[in-house]
Amino acid sequence: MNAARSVAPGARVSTSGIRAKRAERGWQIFAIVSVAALSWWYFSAHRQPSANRYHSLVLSLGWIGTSLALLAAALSIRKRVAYQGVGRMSVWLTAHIYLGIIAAFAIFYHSGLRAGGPLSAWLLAFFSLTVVSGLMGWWFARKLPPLLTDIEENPALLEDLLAARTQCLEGMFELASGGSPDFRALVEQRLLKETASWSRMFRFYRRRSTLAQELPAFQKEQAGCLARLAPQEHRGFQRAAEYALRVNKMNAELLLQRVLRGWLTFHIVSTGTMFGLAAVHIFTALYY
Amino acid sequence: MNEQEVTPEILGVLRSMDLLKGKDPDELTEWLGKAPFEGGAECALRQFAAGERITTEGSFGNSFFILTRGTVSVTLGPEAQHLATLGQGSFFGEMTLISGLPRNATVTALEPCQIIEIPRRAFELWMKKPGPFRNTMDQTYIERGLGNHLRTIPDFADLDLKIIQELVKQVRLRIFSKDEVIVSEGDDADSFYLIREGYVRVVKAMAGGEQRTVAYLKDGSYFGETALLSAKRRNATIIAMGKVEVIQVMKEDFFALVNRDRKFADHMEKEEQRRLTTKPSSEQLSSPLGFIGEALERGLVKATSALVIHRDMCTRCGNCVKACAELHDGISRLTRHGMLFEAPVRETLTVLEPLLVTTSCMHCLDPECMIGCPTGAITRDVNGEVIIQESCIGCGNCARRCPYGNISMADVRSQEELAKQRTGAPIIGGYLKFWKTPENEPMMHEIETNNQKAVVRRVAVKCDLCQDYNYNHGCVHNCPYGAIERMDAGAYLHEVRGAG
Repeated sequence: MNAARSVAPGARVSTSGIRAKRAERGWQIFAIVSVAALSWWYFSAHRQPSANRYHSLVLSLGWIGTSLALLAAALSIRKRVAYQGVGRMSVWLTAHIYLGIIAAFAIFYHSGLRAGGPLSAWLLAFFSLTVVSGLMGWWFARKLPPLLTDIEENPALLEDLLAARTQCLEGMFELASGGSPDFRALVEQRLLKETASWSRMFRFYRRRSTLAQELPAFQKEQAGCLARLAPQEHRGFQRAAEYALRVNKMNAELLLQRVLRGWLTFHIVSTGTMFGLAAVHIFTALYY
Repeated sequence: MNEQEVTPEILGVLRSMDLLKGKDPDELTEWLGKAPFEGGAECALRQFAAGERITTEGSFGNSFFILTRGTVSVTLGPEAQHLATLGQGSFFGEMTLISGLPRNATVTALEPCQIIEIPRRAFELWMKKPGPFRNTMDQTYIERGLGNHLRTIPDFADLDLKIIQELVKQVRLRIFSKDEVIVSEGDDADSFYLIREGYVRVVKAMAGGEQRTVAYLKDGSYFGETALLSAKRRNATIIAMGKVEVIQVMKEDFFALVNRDRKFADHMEKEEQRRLTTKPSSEQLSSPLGFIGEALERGLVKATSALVIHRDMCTRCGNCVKACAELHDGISRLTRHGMLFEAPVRETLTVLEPLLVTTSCMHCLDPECMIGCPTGAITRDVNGEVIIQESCIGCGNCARRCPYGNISMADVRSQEELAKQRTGAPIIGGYLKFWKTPENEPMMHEIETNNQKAVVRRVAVKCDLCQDYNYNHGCVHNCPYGAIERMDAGAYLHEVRGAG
C-alpha cells in the first residue's frame, strides 16, 4: 500500500518520496540485481579458494568498480555541457547515484574489505568518504527541502536570501540610529544576539514554523525591554524586533541551503583525491 | 502575394463580399500585394486539393482565410459533425484571431480550392478601422461563435437547429473584464446568461452582510434562469474572474424558447428545482473553495503551460535559473517568485503538496499580451505557445497587458549591435533604412557597464519554452532532482475536479 494514501484526504505531506520512488524504480531494480550478482560472485569465489581464480576476481571487480565510478563521475561533465541537450539532468543524477552504489560494492569487494598498504588504506578511506558524502547529499536532498518549504515564505535562492538579510539588518540599524541611546543599546546588545541565536533557529526547524507563527511570541518576549524606552519608541522597537527575528529565520534558511550545497564540496574534493590515488594505485598494480 | 497574383477574378470575388464592400481595387491590391506590417508575414494565395484539411479544430492559428474558388466543409468534433458548407466569397478562421482561443472547427476542401491566407497583423489592422470589415466580422463572430457554442452545451444540444439559428439572431454577446459584476443579487431579472468563455464567481450575501463565494461556473454553464422562471429577483451576484464572454438571452426571447421546445422547458424546470433544493454545504461556503477555488481566483486555470516547482523536491540549487540565463544571452526569463499553492499530488490526488507557480509565461488560452502589439511581434505558434519574435520594438505594451507580470523588458546586445559598437558606425544596411518610421525602429539606447559604453536594444522577454533548441525547457531539462515541470493547469484542474 502506498504510504501516502493512508494519509487523510487533504492532509499535507511531503511528496518527494512518492515521486522519487516512481522515477527511480527501474534504477533501484538494476542496482539490487547488480549488487546481488557481485556479492554472489565474490562470496562464491571466497568459498572455493583458488589463487588464480581469486586474483582474476579481484582484478575484475577492481576494473568494474573503476569503470562504474568513472561513469558515475560523468555527471560532472554533464554539468559543464549542461545546455547542449544531452539528456535530462535528473536522469544523469539518478544514474550517478545508482552506478555509484554498485561501484561502491565492487570496490569494497575488490579491496577484500581490508585496508592493505598505506596507499590502499588512503584510497579506501577517500573512497568511503566519497560514498558517505554522496549518501549524505542524497539524504539531505530528500529531507531538507520539505523543512525549508515549511519555514520559508518564498522559495528564494541563497544569493537572494543573503541580499534580503543584508536589507533587514540595514533596516534594523537604521531604526536604531534614529533612536535614543537605550534603544541603540537594546538593538546592539539584545536584538543583534537574537539574529544569530542557534536555539531560536532550531525552534524554527523543530516546530516547522513560519515567521508569522513565531513573531507574536517573540515580540511578547521582548516586551520587557519596552519599559526602558519612551512610549514613542515602542513601535520602532517592535519593528526592530521583527527585523531581528526575520534575520534569524533567514539564517535558519541559509544554514539549510548551505548544507544543501556544502556537502557537495566534500564530495567533489574526496572524489578528486580518490581518483588521483586510484590512478597511482592502478599504475603501481600494473607495473610493479 | 505579388501583384500578378491579384487577378481580376480574385478582385471580383473580394469586391462582391459584404466584408470588403466599398473597397476600391487599388486598395485591395495594396492590402494583398505587400506586407503592410512588420514581422515578415504577408498575405498568401494558397491552393488546396479536394479532401485536404485547411484548419484543424483545437489547433492555434495566426491566419484568417478568404475562399476565392471552390467549396469547403466545416465540421465539428471527433465525429466530424457537419456544420456548414462554404463557397466562393466566404471566409473563415476569424474566430481564433478575435478570441485568441484554439480553432473551434475543422475546415476541409471539398474540391480544389483557391484561398487567400491573411495573417493576424493584417487582420488586426483592418479590424481597427470602422467600416464593413469590422461590422461584418463582429456580426459573424457572434453568429458563428454562438451557434457552435450552443451545440456544445448538453442542455442546448438537442434544440432544433432552426430554433438555435433564430435564437442566435436575438441574443447579445457581452464581454466582461476581471472583477466586473455581471448580475447583482437583488436586481430584477431581465435575462438569462450562458458563459461562452471564462470563469465567473457566484457570490451570496450571508447573514451579517458578509459576501461569500459559493460556487464557480465555467464556460458551458449558465445562470439567471432561476429568477426568470420563478419570477423573483436575482438570488446571487455573478462576478467575472477574468475576461469573460457571456451570451445574454433577454427575458422575452428566453420565454419564447421555453414555450417552443417542451423538452427544453422541462429540463429548465428540473434544473431550477435542483438548484433551489441543493443547499451549499458549510465547506463550500467557506471561501475559497479549496485548491480549485484558489487556482481559479488567481488565474492559474488559464495556463496551458505553467512552470511549476515542486517545493518539497527543490534543493534550491538554482540550476533552473542558471540554465535559463545560459540559453538566453545571460538574461534569465525564470524568476523563482510567483504563486504559492498547496495542490493535490497528481499521482494520488489525495494528498497535498506545496507548489510554486513561477512568474513565467503561462501561455494562456486567451493571451491578453497579444492585444495591440504594434508590430505583431507577439504571436502564438501552431502548438499554442506564445512567442515574441525578432520584430519586437520594445514598446512594453505586452508587458503592461500581461495580468501576471510575466513579461519583462530587458536590454539585449545582439551581434549586430556589438559589431556596430566595434566599428563605431552603423552597418550599411542601417543607413539604407532611413525611410522607416521612427516608432518602428528598435529602441536603441546606451548603457554603461564596467566603465564601458554599449549600445543595446530593449526588447520584451518572456519564457519562450526554449524554442530555438532541439529540446524544450532548459530549466526543466537541467533540474537534477526533477523538481520543475511544465503543467497544463486546465487539464490538471479537470483531473482534480474529476477526482473530487
